[in-house]
Amino acid sequence: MGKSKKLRIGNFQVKDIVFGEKTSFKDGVLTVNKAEALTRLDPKHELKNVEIYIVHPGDKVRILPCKVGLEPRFRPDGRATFPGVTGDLPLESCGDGDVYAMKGISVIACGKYSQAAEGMLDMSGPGVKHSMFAQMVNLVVYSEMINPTKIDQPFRNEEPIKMAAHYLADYVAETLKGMEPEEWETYELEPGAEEAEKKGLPRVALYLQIKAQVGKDKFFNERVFGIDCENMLPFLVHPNAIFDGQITNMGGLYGEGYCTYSYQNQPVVKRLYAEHGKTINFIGVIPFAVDVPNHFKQAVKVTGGELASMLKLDGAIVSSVAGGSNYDVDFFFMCSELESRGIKAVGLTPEHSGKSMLDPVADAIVSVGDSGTIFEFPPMENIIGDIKSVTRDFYHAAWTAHEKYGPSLRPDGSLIVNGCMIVDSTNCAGFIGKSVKDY
Amino acid sequence: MKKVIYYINQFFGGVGGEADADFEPIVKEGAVGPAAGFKALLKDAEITHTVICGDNAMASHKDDSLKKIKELLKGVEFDLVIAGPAFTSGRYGVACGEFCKFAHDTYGVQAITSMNEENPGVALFQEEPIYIMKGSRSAAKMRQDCAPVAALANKIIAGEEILWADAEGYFSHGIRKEVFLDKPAADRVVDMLLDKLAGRPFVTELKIEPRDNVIPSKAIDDLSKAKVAFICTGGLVPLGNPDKIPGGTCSIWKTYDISNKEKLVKGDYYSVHCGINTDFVNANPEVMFPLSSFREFEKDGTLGKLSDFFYSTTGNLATLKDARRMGREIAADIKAHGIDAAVLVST
Repeated sequence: MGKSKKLRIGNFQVKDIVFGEKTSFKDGVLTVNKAEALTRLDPKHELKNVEIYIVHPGDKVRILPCKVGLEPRFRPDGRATFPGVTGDLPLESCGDGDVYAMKGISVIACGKYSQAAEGMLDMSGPGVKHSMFAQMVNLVVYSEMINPTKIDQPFRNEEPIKMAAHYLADYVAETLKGMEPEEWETYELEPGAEEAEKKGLPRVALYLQIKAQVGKDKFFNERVFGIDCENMLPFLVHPNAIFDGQITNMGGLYGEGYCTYSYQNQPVVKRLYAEHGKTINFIGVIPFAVDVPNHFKQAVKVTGGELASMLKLDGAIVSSVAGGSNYDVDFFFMCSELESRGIKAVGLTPEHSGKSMLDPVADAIVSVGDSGTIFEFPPMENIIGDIKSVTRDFYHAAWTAHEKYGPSLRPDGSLIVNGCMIVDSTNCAGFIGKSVKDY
Repeated sequence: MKKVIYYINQFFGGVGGEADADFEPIVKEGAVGPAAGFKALLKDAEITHTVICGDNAMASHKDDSLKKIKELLKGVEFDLVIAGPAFTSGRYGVACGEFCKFAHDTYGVQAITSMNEENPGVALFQEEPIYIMKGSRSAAKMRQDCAPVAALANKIIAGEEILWADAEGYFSHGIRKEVFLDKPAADRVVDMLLDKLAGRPFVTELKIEPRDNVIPSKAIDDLSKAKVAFICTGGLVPLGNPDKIPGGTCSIWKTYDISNKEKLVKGDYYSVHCGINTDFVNANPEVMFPLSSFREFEKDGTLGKLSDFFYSTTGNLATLKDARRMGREIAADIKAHGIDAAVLVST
């Protein structure tokens, strides 16, 4: 490996996915041999009722509860697509070399029982414009644990269900082996950095909040090289590694949060790269974990600030992973810590019926949506997953009872829920044009 | 052609100045005073009547004045109400707000007025379902202030979608709503950073304004004689959730009797909150409400008495507006029950 870290993403536009005899990719169509795929999804034999579905934009289908979402990737050099998660040790570097990507599709894991941070994907109807996943062709893998535990609780370990989507993504992407990508995206910091230093451009980093508040045993927190981020203090990551699977999200697929797909295609990192050497000097990405104890919050705040000072940052984007008081505290802590060190901070955050902690030091915020918005969704012809989960299980966005709206699931199958029910609807990573305005 | 009713005070109605502020309301056909100048600004609408009312008449005898206006407008059909502009004139502003609110509530029509930000009518009526356009300080700017009122009126008449406060120029109702913009959030945030770094002006999309600086009340002199209440926002409810307290977006609070209980036990109480890990509370409700500890303090005389009931609501996703109202209601209830202090736990 040279001094420079260069990542080339070879893109293959996938226009459609069909089931067929041989898993292959030709003329923009991904054909999946379902029977063969099914043999690859559960290496430890922990799952039952495993099924794979293909869903298209406009289909009359509702998928819930959604658990993870990612883009299929293949590495011609044989390295793992998600080092430490789908690959064995030893770990090699991440964010360099060539990786192939299937664009325009995703793989989503879905189950029977919901837990915290899970949501719903409607492929047609009023939810579509709120979700990038509703605008893609998706492979959905439904499965249940053979021995489910704690199904009445808000958090439980469903590693095999979540991993099934990773294995399915790997399985379909392997068919790209030996093929030539249609186009390449190339990412390398050094040339732009040289330019930026010559011009004396402001040094900028992206602070990326990650979830660490759920116990390690739940396979829920963000994973870095496959390691649970509990008790991790802020650290510096090469932007290329964000695109290349160094960080994976296991904590549910709902309106808020970053999913693995959003790391792989992180739009803020892409835009910062586009400005690199022209208007800014893009230094890197700094993930910072959110947990509940005040002691940890304070340590994260100070460590994040120290990193900024040591890296001589002039500006930073502080991107929050979700709304709600726990995340709000750390979001405002980081904005104010950076500002107090003379570093200009701009926040990127969803609202959660507003904000619960208010620090006016955060004078520059981009709002990506309000997860508290009330939505009504008509009944849907086809359900993948379990519609009964809406009032039976724990959802952030649904109620078993409500003084004004009644239960979230109505007898005819229609729903009344908060916005964060729709996967990616508050768009934390910044993909879509949603914002919130005063009326 | 849509029909508009215009509201002005005695001064603009040509009745007289301060000495005539008690002038009782009359309704004149056609457009009088500022309404006459306003006519040309309206598209597909005509001002059929002008209501003229003295500012004192509305301020001191609001109910009578509105009742009289209602009688005078009997049989009159209209689609929209416009009042003012009121500039910084306090009584006039409040009167415009009162009339707009009355028209909206009574006839179900949209109502528009205009005031300067210093006008007390803004704070009083901003959150009502009427539009208060941002206006100038004095009547010298009458023409300037009428333009945005007319622009909004024309949009309403044409059935066009009314956009957010800054886009239309009205004082926000304190409501935030999702909108779709052309530029993705990732580009907006980088552009804002570039502006901030370069010292160029930028507009935050979420203004952080701490509004409730609460001054703590005086400490209890003698806790051993005090009556204490317990309040939680953790959605703690008795089995069956009899009041249908939701796990999110809650707008109600309830009280639950614990006068005969020494402790809360699993199964009797649980949390419906959808924003926290409720496992711990559900396994032992005392994690949220340590009733047995309160009882111990009662017994050893540390505190006088625990209130016979506790207060409960769900904080998750409650709007600031609802939360503030519930806070005021609970505080009033606590006072009405002669309770001296409250323990409010976070979740």
